[in-house]
Amino acid sequence: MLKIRDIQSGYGESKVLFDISMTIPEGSIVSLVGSNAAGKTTLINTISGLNRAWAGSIEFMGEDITLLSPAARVERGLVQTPEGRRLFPDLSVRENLLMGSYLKSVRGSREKNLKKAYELFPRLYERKDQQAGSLSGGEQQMCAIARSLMSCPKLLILDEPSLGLAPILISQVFEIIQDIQRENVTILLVEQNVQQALSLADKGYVLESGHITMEGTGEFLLHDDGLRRAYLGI
Amino acid sequence: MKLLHNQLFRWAIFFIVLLGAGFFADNNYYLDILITIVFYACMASAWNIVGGYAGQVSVGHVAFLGLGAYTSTILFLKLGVSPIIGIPLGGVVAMALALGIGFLTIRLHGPFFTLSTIAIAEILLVLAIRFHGLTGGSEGLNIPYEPSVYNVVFKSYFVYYTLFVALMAAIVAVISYINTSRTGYYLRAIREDETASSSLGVDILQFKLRALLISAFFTGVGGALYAQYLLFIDPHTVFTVAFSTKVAALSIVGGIGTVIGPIVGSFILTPLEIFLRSQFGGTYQGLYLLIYGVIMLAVIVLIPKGIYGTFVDSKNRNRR
Amino acid sequence: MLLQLIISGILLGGVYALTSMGLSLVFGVSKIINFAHGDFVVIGMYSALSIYYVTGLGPYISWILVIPISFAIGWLAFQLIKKTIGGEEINQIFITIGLSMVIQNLLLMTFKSDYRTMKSSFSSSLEIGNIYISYESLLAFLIAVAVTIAFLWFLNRTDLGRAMRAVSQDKDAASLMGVKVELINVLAFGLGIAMAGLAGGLLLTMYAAYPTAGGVYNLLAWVIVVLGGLGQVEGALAAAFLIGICETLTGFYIGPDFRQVVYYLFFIAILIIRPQGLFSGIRMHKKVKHETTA
Ligand SMILES: Nc1ncnc2c1ncn2[C@@H]1O[C@H](COP(=O)(O)OP(=O)(O)OP(=O)(O)O)[C@@H](O)[C@H]1O
Ligand SMILES: [Mg+2]
Repeated sequence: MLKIRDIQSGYGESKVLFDISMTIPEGSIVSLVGSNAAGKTTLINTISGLNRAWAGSIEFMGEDITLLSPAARVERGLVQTPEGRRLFPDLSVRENLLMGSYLKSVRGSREKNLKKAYELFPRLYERKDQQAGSLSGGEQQMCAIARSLMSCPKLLILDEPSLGLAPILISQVFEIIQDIQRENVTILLVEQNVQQALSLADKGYVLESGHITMEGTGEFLLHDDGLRRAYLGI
Repeated sequence: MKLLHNQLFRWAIFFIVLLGAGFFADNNYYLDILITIVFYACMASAWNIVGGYAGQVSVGHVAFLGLGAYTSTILFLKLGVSPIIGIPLGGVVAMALALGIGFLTIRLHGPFFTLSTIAIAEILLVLAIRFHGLTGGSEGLNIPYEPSVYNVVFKSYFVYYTLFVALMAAIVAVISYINTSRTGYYLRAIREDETASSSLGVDILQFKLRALLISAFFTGVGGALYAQYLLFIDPHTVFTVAFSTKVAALSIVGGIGTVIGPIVGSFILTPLEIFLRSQFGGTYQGLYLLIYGVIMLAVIVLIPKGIYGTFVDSKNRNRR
Repeated sequence: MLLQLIISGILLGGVYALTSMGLSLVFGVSKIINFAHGDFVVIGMYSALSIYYVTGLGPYISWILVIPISFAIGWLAFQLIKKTIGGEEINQIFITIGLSMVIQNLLLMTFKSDYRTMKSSFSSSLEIGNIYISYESLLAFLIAVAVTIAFLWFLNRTDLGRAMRAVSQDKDAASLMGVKVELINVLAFGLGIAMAGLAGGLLLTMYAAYPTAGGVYNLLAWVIVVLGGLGQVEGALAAAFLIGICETLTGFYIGPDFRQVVYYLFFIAILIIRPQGLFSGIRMHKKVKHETTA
């Protein structure tokens, strides 16, 4: 579904990503883990088109999208739920969701998607006219995910959806992610919550200082001693 | 140390050549042009202290100019105080205004500081017109032509010219001093990265305020001296925001935040202005300001560091 | 008399609201501090005047033409201004100041420095008790109100308007929803200038046009925007009426030349004391519950 080859990117003159290659098979959950400042957000922003790729290529569903605008990528079904939710704080919950179906290509299924989102997150329906900025952290994450679903994603990239959430909420979020996958959405999950992220992943990548240092099935990585020591403190 | 000497030497040569040019011009028409160039170079350099070095863009600098001019002129006309005292006092009064303004507004984020300076200049303009008992209102004030040292009125243009060149030398000296001092160091640090400097405990506001005060002082002195040269002031020349924009434009075109930039700007744009005004002033009112504006836009878009700044950059690049 | 002044102030405020909402929109969406906004108001004045000279149509008809003309001018101006987005702040400030210089002096060269007004097309004015309202300013006010309502509807009820608000809050997040931020920027700028131009055309029923009037309208618009809370379009609306009334009152009781002084002082005071604006926090278009429970 997504193939990236030898991607380099960074900010100003400092390079953050060094020749990253990844493959995400259709229908799978792929987890990308790594410590702070490894370059995870930079990588997925490059995939989404917010950052320019300095070198390398990105192929999505057989098409080279390296040079496309972020909007054009969303149009093709490549959707990101950004780190820190990034809701529009002064817009109501409902308006935030409507922003998710801003593109003409998905506006047709707006009502249907809205209904589905409210079914998946009844909490959001209760608060649909509330300003998004006044939601609790957990609700904001739900709202951010729901907003992405409004864009009819084929590949959904989630950047640290568990960030700052209480443990119960984290498990809830991971369950929702699996639900979404069951609806035929491929998922790229960026996490620092290594244990949980890898245990539900079909495939995992470990990113360290801008290099992919390990890849394999989630199971395989979870049993790797080096990884366990580095990230799980075992 | 060697560099400093070298620089000092270069500046000395520059001012001697400048004076020499005036001496040999020996013709009031050319001297007037030279005086205007040097006057604007002074104003642009003074503006640059706060606009370029401290990064607080004022478009109300004309308030300091006008206050300086009115202070010395009113003191002279109403109380008979010699401009020898009045001119520096004009600078001090301008500085006092700057202290008041700065105390209130220097903390404002860039563009809002700029807006507030415009508002202050506009307020002074209205006040100067309104209090005509003191200021002569819209008609302005005339300084009688009675040449004497006490009156700071001279027959010879060259004397005025010398005074303006001296003012410019003083401004350049102060800026060069600031540049090598702690204040200059902090101002540069602030301009590079305001948040970083403030987190390092640099009292940003204090340094910006200092820059504003110095800048206002020289602008006030320049205004007072200019009034002595014109022998006339009125609110629409000394309190109009267009003057401030022009002065800022000189710095931007020449190269902001450099000692030489504003001087370069004035030496290029002021003669151009004089030429355009004498050629088209009657038929195409506003043409010269239009061209100023276009040049400024072109510089911002094409060479944002200004003529001198770009020149320095390319020299450094070649060296590398 | 007081009532008369307040009513005139409200009529004036309605027109001021247009120019300030435009400025607020531009600032909110693209974070551009436009020092030339007032000059676009004046361009609107001269556009309406030119239409009047050529066709004899008054401002309450020509506004239909002034809007697209101003939009096009705004679009063009943005092509220049956008070159400094993301660059040094000082260049951002001076690109619009330079633009203002260019506009003012182009107007000066074309129209000369005369004050120009438009002859009234109505011979009488509306009389209620001992209060007089000129039909012209009443019409201008009604047009301003109608456009304001349309604009607020656009901003709050359409996808494009919502996208503008979204970009003003988080442009990266908006672009992740497929919003073309560049396009939104230029549209918002064009729209803001269109409203400024429209306001200019309508202002001709109350004030004379002259080439450098932009300076006054620029500060005026900023006073209102700051008063209303930066980027808060509805706040600007409320502040505009306040300033309109303030202007007619000082004009009458203190003197016309003091009109501006009063609100400049107001402006500086607000910047210093309450930089978030007087009306921020109030939202007039929608009731919003503030609960925070998980
Ligand atoms: N906008 C930016 N400008 C400059 N440097 C940046 C920017 N964003 C990130 N960086 C730098 O790039 C590097 C990688 O950052 P990135 O945000 O991609 O890491 P991350 O793996 O997502 O970290 P985290 O888990 O904390 O979110 C860091 O060194 C960071 O300082
Ligand atoms: Mg990150």
